[in-house]
Amino acid sequence: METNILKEGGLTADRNGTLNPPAPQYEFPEAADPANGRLQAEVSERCRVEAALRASELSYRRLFEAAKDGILILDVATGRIKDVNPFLVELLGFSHAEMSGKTVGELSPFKDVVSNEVMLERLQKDGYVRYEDLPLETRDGRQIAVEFVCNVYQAGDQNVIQCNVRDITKRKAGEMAALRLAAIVESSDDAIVGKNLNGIITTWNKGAERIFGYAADEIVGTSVLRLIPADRQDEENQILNKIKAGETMEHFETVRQTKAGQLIDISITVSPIKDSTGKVIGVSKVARDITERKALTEKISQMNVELEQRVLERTEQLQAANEEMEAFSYSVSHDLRAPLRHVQGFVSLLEKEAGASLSQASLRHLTTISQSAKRMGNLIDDLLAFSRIGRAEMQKVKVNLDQLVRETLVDFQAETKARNLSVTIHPLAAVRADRALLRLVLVNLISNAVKFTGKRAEAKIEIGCAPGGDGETVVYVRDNGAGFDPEYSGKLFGVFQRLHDQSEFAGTGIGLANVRRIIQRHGGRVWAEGALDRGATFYFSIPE
Amino acid sequence: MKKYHSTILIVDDDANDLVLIERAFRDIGVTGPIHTIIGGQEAIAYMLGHGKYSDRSVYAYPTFITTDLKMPGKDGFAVLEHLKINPEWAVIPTVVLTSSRDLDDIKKAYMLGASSYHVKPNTPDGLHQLLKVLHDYWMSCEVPEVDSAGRQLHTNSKGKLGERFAQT
Repeated sequence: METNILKEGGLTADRNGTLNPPAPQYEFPEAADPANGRLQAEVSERCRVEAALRASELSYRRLFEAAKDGILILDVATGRIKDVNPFLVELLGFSHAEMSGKTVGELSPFKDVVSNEVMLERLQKDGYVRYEDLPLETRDGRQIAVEFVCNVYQAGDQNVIQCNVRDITKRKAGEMAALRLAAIVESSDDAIVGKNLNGIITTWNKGAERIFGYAADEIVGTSVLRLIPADRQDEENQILNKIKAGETMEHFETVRQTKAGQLIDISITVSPIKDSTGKVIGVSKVARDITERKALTEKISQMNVELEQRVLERTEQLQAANEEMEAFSYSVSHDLRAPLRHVQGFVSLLEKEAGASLSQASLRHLTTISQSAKRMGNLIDDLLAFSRIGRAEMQKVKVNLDQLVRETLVDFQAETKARNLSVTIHPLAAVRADRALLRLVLVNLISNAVKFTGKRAEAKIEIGCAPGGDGETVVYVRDNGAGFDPEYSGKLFGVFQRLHDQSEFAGTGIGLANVRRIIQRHGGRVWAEGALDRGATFYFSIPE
Repeated sequence: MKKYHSTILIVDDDANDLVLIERAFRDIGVTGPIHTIIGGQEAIAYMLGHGKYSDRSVYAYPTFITTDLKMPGKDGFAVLEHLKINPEWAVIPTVVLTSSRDLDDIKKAYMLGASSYHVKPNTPDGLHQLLKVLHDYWMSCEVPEVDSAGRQLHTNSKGKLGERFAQT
């Protein structure tokens, strides 16, 4: 379909706006006489002028067609669109036909932003309307921003309204990005400083003001050397040389001077600013005040030194305590035992020398003295063993519990041969433990079970694994012996704690204390269940 | 040659132990001289023949010595050391009889030339048994020749072949 409005200008355009040059419209007959000649000349002249006009119009038309701004031509009276250039067709996505004959306000992109009446009124009054920033939605839903300017001007004897629509979407986005960047730079805690290749400061943010104390207007345009302490002035040249070579300096730690003359520790990253051709045209410097961080680092390293010192002291104290313990054990074994040996020795001598003349009661007293001395000797031995268990070095290996239990039980064979005692061994797991110490645990627990079932006609001992928490193996030793009063179960594992009379069941009361000590050294727990005369179950756990 | 008399030296800082050990020797049938010496200092004086110990007819060279280790002043190690650095004495069997089970003590005693090392038994019976074993063993051993005072004699090498023990 051809448009009529274009025909008036002698041009035709298809609906895509492509121009078709005008075909020659005037044909001149051969000149016959002078009058004809004048006429011919006149006609020729008019033709020339018209041709010139057409050429001029054509060149404007071409501008209209090729413009990189959108152009609308409006009817002055009605404000209806008379013409639209291809750029605007492209920009808004509506065809020439769709826009022709409508007012601007009727076009859907402008519907909510431009009122035809208001626009016309202002155009009539001022001959000029300008919207700096109109947000529009194109036919395909893109959000764009345009600058919209309308002018009324005279073309020949009639007024024409020409509207220019400039797409400013990209420019606006660029401006926004720049603003955002500027805001980020401005609000940064770090000092962000621009300078030129002569070291003259060109930009100065709030962070820089805060760190160095200078306001932007008092330092921009002056040399960066103002910030550098006298003994470091060389640094600036070194930095500039690197930058000129296109290099970046990252996290360079140095000292700078504030306006107040205070020296501060800073970490700076300096990078070249390059133009689009890659030429270095300036320097950007990001500086961070690390005074606090440095102070903290120093404090931490100082604390580390103190900590190490304390660890050393503690280790020394521990070593001293250990040595003292060794000396104590030595002394106990050597010095405490001697008097006991003497008591027994001299009682024995007395029995030999005066035995015949002593009464039965006196002889019993001598026996008691001797037995007491012997018992004390056993207590000392046990105490020494207990202290050794606490200090012995542990060698953890994989221990087959079943095998260890069977091996341990062999030790009790002689003792239990004459008794009616049954031992049941349930399936046992393997554990990681010190084998010798774990054996001591089993010896103590089994020995207790054997001892406290001594008065049972049918003694029963059970050894097995009980369900435990994650990552631990729980082992129990159960007997049907004398049991214990649960009220005192807390005392079971104490050193020299006994819940039964010596006359009833002999012992020093160190066995379970040893058990607990060994298990605790393995990171495990010990506990017991039982009731008086109803047997006891002792549990221990070994972590994996 | 076999000893024709035996003298036992008991060194200890504890008078009770001295009594008990001497009694135990007697109880197992030892009839020869037994000297009880209090402390290492005294023991060394005995060996050197200082003071009253110069009378070797009374204080003869011992056939064997039992010594305690932990004693004030010169201790059992000092006694062992003295024996070791005096070759004439180094040949006397010296038995350590102590309360200490300490492994370092045991090692050090043997390094200083102890003939054997025993922990004092806790019971009178145990002491009897131990001393009997020791006495019977050392009395059955050959020892270097001594004179009537117990002094060691130079060996007579006349008419023998081969290298002889170097005499001092």
